[in-house]
Amino acid sequence: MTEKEVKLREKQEVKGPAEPTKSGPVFLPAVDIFENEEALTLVAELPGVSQTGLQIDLKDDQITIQGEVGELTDPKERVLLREFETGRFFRQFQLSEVIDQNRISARLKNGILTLTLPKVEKAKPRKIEVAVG
Amino acid sequence: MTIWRWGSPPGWRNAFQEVERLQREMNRLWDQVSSGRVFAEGSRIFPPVIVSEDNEYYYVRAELPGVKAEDLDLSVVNDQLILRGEKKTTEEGEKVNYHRKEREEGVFRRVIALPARVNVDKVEAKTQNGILTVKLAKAEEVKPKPIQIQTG
Repeated sequence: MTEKEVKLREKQEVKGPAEPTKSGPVFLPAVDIFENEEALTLVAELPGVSQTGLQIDLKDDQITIQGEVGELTDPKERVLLREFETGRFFRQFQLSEVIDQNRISARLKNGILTLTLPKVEKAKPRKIEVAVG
Repeated sequence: MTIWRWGSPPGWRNAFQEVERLQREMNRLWDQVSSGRVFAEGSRIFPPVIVSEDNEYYYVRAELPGVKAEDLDLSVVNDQLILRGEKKTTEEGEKVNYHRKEREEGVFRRVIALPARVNVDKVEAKTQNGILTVKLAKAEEVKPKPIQIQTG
């Protein structure tokens, strides 16, 4: 049985209404969003972004993820083959009211940003005891 | 390819329509070329790399977000760098409901042919922020040597 081979996903450039103040390409990072009972989790691929280059803003129920990636090659290097571009990552999401915005946490590791968005208490599924009789 | 019918329905209006259609097709083709996305989808191999050099070294940089060093296998043979590994996206384990799944996952195997031989004993590799950087020292005989010019 053959193993599944990973497909190359081209970086998608953002051509949105908001123009970046700095010049250079802006890319949309690939994102997985999933939920369990406790929280909603957002996992974004931001290769090349370090802690200092990452900015997460929360305003009016909207969460904005921005990551900067500088040139990877040194100026004295001669580029022979370039299959990917580096630039800025940008993505925005609208949060629903079930998220407790005060308890949002973020972790950046290996170019992967994991945002944990905990649900407010009343949004968690609760078992309802049924009294018999 | 669109097939145009020449010479049928007479009239000025139809002739101009054909010209306009040609213009639209050419504009569309130009947009495709100028945006750089002319190659077929899926014809490229994961991971994408940037290969560069200076006088002493070759540098290969690959975008491997989320790939840990233990899931990565690197080897060098003569003038080839072989990159193998697995990109995983589900570290959570417990069952979750996905709202959105855009990240790709799976195994990868890629051979990067370098322009010349490298010294296999002097290869350094490190991953940082999801970018793998491999620095390969060029084999001695490949490095550019200054040539003395005799005058007289």
